Amino acid sequence: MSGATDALQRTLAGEHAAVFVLGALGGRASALPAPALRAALDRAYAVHLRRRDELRARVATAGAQPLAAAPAYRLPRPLDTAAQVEAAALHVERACATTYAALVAATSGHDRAWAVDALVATAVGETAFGGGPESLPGLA
Amino acid sequence: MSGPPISPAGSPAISHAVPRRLVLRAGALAALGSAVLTGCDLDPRSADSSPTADATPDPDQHVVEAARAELRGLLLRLAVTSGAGALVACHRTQLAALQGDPPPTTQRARPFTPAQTVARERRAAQRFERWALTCQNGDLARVLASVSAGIRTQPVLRERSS
Repeated sequence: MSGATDALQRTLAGEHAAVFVLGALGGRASALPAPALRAALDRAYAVHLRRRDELRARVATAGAQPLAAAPAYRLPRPLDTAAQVEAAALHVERACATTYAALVAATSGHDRAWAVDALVATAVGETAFGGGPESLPGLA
Repeated sequence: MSGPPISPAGSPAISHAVPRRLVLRAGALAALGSAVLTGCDLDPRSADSSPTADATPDPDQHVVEAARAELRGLLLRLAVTSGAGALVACHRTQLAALQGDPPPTTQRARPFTPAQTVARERRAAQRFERWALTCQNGDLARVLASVSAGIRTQPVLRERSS
């Protein structure tokens, strides 16, 4: 497997995890009086679902079998308050930004363009979960 | 081996997170080291011993120089612009990631108007994104893409786009 394909697979693995965790966070937020947080989680979940599907297609186009999701992923704890759920969502987004930055380094052409778009959008979108401005998102 | 940012249940937590200093060193040095060596090799012995290796131009050298110049230009004007302290700090960090030196404080400059600040920051974000797409070195591309993303997270651009 080439370095670029390997990086695509790692990013896909990250998306599988993000989809799982954000879905769980959305379910948790539905029991909390936090409508803005629920809406932000819904949007983030949809974005990561789309990215997961796009990455599957990119891996397949590269001639590899896309990695399957794990049966389950470890959820952050505790998730009793809106602040805890929000912090967990921010952690997911920042971890994904780091993965996208790694994908930028490992790819070129259309795959790199996809990774740059994902990095920029994720860095900007972190504000929905309380993230502030960063000088170098994805590198920390 | 690295893995997904959130580990599957039952396996140890794995993260791509790398200490910032290490990432910057790796990214910048890998990309910039050869540019420094080819552009500033003052050791005559190296020219005598391996002229073909030293003569190879770094294909990304112009990108590195343009990226540093972009940040220096912003810093020069923002340093005298009221309320731009956070942007100055941001660009200093970004310039350091590219192993660039900040502009001399003795250099005179006119402050940006608020509209100019937004326009120049937006233009810089677009330029860094383009450089990230066109440079050859992957580690350099990562730093350039991160700079673009970092600029777009600054309140001065987020407030205008919302």
